[in-house]
Amino acid sequence: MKGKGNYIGELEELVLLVVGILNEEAYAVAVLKEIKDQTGREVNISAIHAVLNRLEEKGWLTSNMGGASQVRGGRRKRYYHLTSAGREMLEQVRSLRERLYNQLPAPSL
Amino acid sequence: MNKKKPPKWADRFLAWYCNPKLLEQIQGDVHELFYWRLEEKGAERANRAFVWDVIRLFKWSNIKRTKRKTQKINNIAMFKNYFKIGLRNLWKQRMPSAINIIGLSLAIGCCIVSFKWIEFNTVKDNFHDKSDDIYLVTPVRIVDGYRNRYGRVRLDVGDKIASEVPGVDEVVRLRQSEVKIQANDNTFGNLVSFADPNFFQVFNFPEVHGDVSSFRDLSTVVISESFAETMFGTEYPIGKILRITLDGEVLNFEIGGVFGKPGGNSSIRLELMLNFEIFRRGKDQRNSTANTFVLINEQANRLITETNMASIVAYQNASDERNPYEEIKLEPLTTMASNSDQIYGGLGNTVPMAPVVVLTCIGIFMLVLSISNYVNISTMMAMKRVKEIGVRKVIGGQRRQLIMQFMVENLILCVLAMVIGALLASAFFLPWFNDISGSTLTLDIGRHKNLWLFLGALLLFVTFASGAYPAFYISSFKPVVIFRGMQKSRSKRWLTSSLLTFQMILAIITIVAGVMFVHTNRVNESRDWGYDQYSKLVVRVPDKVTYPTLKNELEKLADVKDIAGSRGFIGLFFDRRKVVLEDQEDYVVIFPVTDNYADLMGVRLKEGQSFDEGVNTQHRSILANEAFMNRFGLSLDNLKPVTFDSTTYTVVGVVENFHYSSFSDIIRPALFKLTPEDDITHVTVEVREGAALAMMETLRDIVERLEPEEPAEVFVQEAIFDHHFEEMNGIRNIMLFTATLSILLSAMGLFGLVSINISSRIKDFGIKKVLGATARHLSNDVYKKFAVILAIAVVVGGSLSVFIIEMLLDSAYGYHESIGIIPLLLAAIILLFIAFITINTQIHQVRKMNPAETLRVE
Repeated sequence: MKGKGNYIGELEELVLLVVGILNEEAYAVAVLKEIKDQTGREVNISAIHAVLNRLEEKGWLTSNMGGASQVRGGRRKRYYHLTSAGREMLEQVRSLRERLYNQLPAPSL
Repeated sequence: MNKKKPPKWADRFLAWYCNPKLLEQIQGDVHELFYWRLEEKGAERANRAFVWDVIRLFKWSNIKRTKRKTQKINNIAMFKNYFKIGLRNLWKQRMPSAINIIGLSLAIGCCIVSFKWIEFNTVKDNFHDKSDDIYLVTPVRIVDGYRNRYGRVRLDVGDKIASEVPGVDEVVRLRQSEVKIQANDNTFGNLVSFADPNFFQVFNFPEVHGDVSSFRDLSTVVISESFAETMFGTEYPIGKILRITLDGEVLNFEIGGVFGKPGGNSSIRLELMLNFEIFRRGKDQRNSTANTFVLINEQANRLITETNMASIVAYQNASDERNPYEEIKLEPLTTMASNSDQIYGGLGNTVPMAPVVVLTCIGIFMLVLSISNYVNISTMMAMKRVKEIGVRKVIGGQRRQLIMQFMVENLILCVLAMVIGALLASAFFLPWFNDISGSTLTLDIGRHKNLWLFLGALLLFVTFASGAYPAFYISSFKPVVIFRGMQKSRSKRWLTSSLLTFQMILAIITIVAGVMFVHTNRVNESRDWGYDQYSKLVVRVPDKVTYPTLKNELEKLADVKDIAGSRGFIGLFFDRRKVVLEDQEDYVVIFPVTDNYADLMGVRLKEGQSFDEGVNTQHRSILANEAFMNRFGLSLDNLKPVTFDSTTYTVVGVVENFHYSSFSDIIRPALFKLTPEDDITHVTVEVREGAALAMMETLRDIVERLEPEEPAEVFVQEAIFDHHFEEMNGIRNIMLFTATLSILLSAMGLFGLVSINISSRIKDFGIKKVLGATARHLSNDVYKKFAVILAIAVVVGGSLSVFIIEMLLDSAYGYHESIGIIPLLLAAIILLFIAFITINTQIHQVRKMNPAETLRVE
């Protein structure tokens, strides 16, 4: 978490959150589907891969290859997990947002 | 269950570009998405989405191959190891290695000779520092509708170019002629070159003694080193006097400089150099021409300068209306020789194509033969090392490394072969080739850049062509199979067999070629020339002497029986003219002669009549040869008027075909016509039988007395073709050499294969022997393997050679017998005999062996 690595983009935040939500079942396709289900956004798989890789590089995710299974022709999945740094990042973003929201003046009627 | 699958090509594309380390995950993801979409959205949209995904995933981060190896491979140590193992193996398998090396080096030797000769004949005039900026001025004129290019321009035009054309730095003119030279009481005929004194500033010839440009002085001559040596031996030539006869005047010239052999192959042959002024003076500048070179400076280029020549074209056309120039082209010095057939009066010779083709073929032939040997033998050799390969693979050797190892071993062998080949070429092949081709090639490895390039390329080619297959094949074995002892070389036998067959076919073809050339040469030496070539001498009539004068002188000699004159003469010099017969036209050889020439030469009259004695030359009758009559479909009863040189003639007699030129050419239509005496260039003298050689000197003396300025030229008619025969014998020797080498190479290949075959089955033979097999039994076993190959080779090679050799013979000889059964049989017998001996030397081993010894091994 050095330099500009500290910055988190909108899609990155979304993916990070979804990985956190999916917990043990977070792999690229699952993330894609979850985003679609929850937000209606259709993101291309290559974009998901790119974001996951970037997040892993920044240290907010770790990954490991899962076991072989019958689905996907026996090909293994790469599962992602939220690291404590990742969780902390989400907290930071959230508290920042909340602080900013609280300063928003109430809409005048 | 839905059987739909994602589009195959996209899937394959993904697998191809994707980093293997990421592939599993990525491919799994896109497949999962595909099946999901398949259910949700249907096949078509799923397909499209899949393709789109694959395309989107095609980006650098997915393509690049990441290396996560932590340890660095110690390459140098590995190569050292390869080297060591390679040398050990070479030594351990001495016999097959030796066969490989010898075969390759023979082939490489041949290739080097071919290369040297071809290079010498194609790369010319590129050794001057300014070669790329020197051009020959070649004006173009339209004559009879053809664009003709000429290699010479008038002297005043040359002056104009020097003074008027921008971009031209220097103009050098050169004119060569044969003159008589006297020094040390000797008289020589030699080539003298008149050149502008700036010659050596434009062209680079090394200075040996004195000042090579000293011929700017009109009384100084500059000579070549070789001329100095023949003239003065080891004496210092500078300051010596040469007496040179020019235009009838004998002048003294002091030698001012000596130049050496040029740094490359030069089309400009120089012996003696005199100032161009000497050629110029007293001549009409507009009637004399010379080869004119221009040196262009950096600002100009060829095209610009050619355009700038427009003023020169205008000048020429204004001053000489009869010979108008269309334009002036510049021919680069470096291509001047190869284009010399398109430039009238140019310098240099074109490359003779036939020898180039033959030599290239021989080089390739030999390479193919020895490389097939190599592939065969080294594959078999490596089969003995499969255990080593297995071990290397098991302890983690990658296939790439194994291939590398074999290629390194291969390189060692090829380098050895290369060195031996170069030695062979310089010590044996080149001198021998020089002998028969009359060239003076040497292997100047030190300073010859092209040769280095060639050798480098050859080494690379040989290494890959010969080593790639064995290396890939051997390294493909699986260790499990190797250690279970199950690998079979049988599946790949066909390659070995077909390579061997191919070699044998080549061998048959070369043997047939050798046999046919020997045979045809022998037939040609006793071939009927179509006339009586014996007891005749031909004398060239010097320019200033007339035929009657010379004839009178010669008639006084006791041994002279008869004298006739001709323009050109049968055997060496003749003219071709376009002849028109009503609607037909063709080029025909024409001999303008005196009335008794045909009779004197013994040309045989077939029908009709010969020229009448004493008939005047206005009489327009001609004698035609049979080829002429056949070509135009004539007979004496059915004649047509024959027109050439805007005169019409009538055929009065037909003579049998005669060889007016060497046996390389077939006899084409030829005519004799009568000629006035002042047109005659050669006198043919019939002398008493057996006196021809003795008379040569007498005739020479007479001509020299009449005209002391020109060297006399006397030919012996029966020796006219000696040079041709010599050349043909040279070609025959090359063919024989090729045949010998190819037999040798294929025999070595066979030898190697048989010996490896036997040694790998030695236990087999041991067991058979113990069980009571006779020697004949055992040898039959070996013969059977190779009999089929030899049979196929004889049949295929025999029939192929009929086509190929027939073509070769057609290009070398005008007339030859077609390939009969005898040369084919002879070739087959030679090949089979050699093969039999080769195989037998090996079988001998098997016969002698003690089965107990072989069965105990290992």
